Formats: sequence, C-alpha cells, structure tokens
Amino acid sequence: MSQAQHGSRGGPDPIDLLPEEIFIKIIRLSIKADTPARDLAKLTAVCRLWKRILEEAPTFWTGATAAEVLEGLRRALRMVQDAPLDLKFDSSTAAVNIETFFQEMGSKISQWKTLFVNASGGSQVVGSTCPASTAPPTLEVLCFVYYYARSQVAHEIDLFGGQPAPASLKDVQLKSPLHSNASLSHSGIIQTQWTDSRAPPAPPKMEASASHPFARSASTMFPRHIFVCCSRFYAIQIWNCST
Amino acid sequence: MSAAPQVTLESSDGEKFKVDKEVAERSVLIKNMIEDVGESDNPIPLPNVNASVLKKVLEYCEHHRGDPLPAADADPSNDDNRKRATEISDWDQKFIQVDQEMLFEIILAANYMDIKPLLDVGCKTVANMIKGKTPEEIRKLFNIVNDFTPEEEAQIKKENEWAEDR
Repeated sequence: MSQAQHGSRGGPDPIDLLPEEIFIKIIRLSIKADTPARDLAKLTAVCRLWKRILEEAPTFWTGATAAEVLEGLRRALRMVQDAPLDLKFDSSTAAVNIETFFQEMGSKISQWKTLFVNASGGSQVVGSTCPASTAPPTLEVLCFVYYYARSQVAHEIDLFGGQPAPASLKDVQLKSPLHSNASLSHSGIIQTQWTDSRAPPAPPKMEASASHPFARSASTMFPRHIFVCCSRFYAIQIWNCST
Repeated sequence: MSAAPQVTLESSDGEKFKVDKEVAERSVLIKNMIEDVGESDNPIPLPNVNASVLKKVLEYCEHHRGDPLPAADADPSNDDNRKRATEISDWDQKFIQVDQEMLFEIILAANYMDIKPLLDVGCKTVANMIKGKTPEEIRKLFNIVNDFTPEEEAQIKKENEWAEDR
C-alpha cells in the first residue's frame, strides 16, 4: 500500500501487500456518501499512492454538499468528472447560499442523480427559484424539505422552471411540516394512493392532497409532516398552506 | 446418523486442519477446489495462509457456517448500501479485535480464499480506523511513508489550504 516497511514478524508490513482493489474498497468504506471534499482533500496528503487513488476515482467526490466552502465545491466538481452527483443543500449547515450552490452545480446539471434540499433556514430561500431553470435529465431522487413560518406569505417554489420533470425520476419526497388547513398543491403528480393516514391532525390536509388527481402515494411521517411520493410529475409547486 | 463430511486443509507452514466440509466451503476457493478435484483424502494446500491466520479464518467460518451465502453482486461499497457499509456485528467485532498485522493478514487470507463476508469485516474495520484521522495520524497508524518531495508537499498544502479546519 506504500513503500515497504517491515512488520514485527520480519517481512514487509501486510498493509503493503494489500492489492490495490482492496485498498480502494477500504477507502470507499471509510467515506460516507456525504463526506465533504475537504476531508477527501486531506486524505490526498497521506502519500502519493493515496493521492493517486483518490484523484483517479471520480466516485469518491460525488457528494456535493453546501456545507463545503466554495473552493471545496469547485474541487469536488473538478474531481467528479462525469460521475453522477449527489447534491445536498441544507440551510442549517450551508456555507454558501442557495443561489451560489445551484449556480456552481448548474454546470453539472446533466450529472445530478440525487438532490436533497432542506430549505428550513428561513427567509433565505423564500421566493427563490430552485434549483434550476431546466430539469436535470438524470435526476433519480428528490427530497425537498420546506418549512414555513405561519406568518410568512405564500411563495411558490418552482423546481423545474415549469418544465416537465425528468423521466429518470424514481422517488420524490416532499416534507413540509407546517401545512395548515388550506389545500396542498402538487401539480402534475400522476395518481393517488394513500399508504398511511393515521396521524390525527393531518387527514384534512392529506385529503386535500390525496384528492389531487396526480398524486401517486402519500403518507404522514409525523403528525404535522406530510410525505408525498410520486414516480413522475411535471413540476412541484408548493404554496404556503398556513392560515 | 453419519458424521458430517470433513476435509483437511494445509497451511503454508505445513500445519493440517481437519474441518467440516460445510465450514471449509465458506471459502469459495476451497469450494471450487473440492468441486474440481472431487472427494479426496489429500489435504488441500493453502500456500498463502500460515497456520495462525488459517486458525483464525476457520474460527470465523465455523461461527458463520449456517449463514446464507452472500450474493455475488452484494458489494457493501455500492452507493445504495453505504448507510450500513461500516456496521459490524458484535461477534465479528470481537473476532476482529486483533493486532494490526493479524488484521491485514486476515484481509489478505479472506481475499485469497474468497470469503467475501470476512473480507468485508476486515475492510470495514480498517475503514473505521481511518475515519476522522489526519494524514499524519494515518501515516503513523499504518506505518506509511510520506513519499512526497518537499516541493510536492508544499504544493498539496497550497491546494488544500481551503480544507484546513475553520
């Protein structure tokens, strides 16, 4: 694995005998899907072999998170080459604002595979168009958490600029904890199929959502959370539902 | 009731281990060898595994003798499996609490003998040792030589300036 050292039993250290594919497996296991580029960058400083392996494997760099400073995001985007990207914008940990994040990520929109957006940080995202003006063509999973303060006025979030969602989309999770009595609108969701309607405060709102002709499935995760899944839809539009 | 069929394995240093065929066949290498050669009283040679490591490997195989065999494509490093990628069962954790040299010997033996679950346990253990460590700590932990030239090191430091703890 590195230049030969000598183990306590006289020969080279067994770590030096590891085949490269096992070493790659170990590195991969030590990296979480959302390991920030700054941690990966630090690992490149161990030795030449580690640097080469980390830099030659684009899939190590696919977790693009807004917790990264701008230089980190750019380094990850350089290293990721053509590999599918897992994007994460969490306003509670973001080091860059949402506009900057998606502006940077926009250059690789054809590689977006998963997108997690937690826009619960307050006014920062209200009114933003998110995440791009065109639909990511290979997006498979979208998880969108959006919190509204009751005092906030209605704002529409248009995820795909009004364009059809990509056909690649397999799973959509919308979590919006402060829905109130007004109806919840998800436009373009294909069919309705409730999987869980046990949570007491939710049924009126869920009925409103479920009655939408395009909803495929929906369930309550917590009393005030509504969780809607659909396999294909045309644009997600969420309005502030608080009274 | 007839006794379970057994096979004899021979380590690189000549020690022989008589084990149930079911246990030995946790190793895909041995399973294939038995299938290719057929039933035989001759010991199966394992020239890449010494007795102390083989003993340990067989302890693992004995404990897991009834486990379902892993699917060929069930790679824990796949994205879909990353969440549980570094989980290790309690028994396996205790089993793999060995010195570092033995740990890497086990990984090498598991790779050679094609025992994927054991290879995974070993790799996960090393991966957990790496997590959260600085480059210096990793070098020290695994006896890795810093083979960068001073110029290269300075360049890397410059490239990674943004990554330093904020």
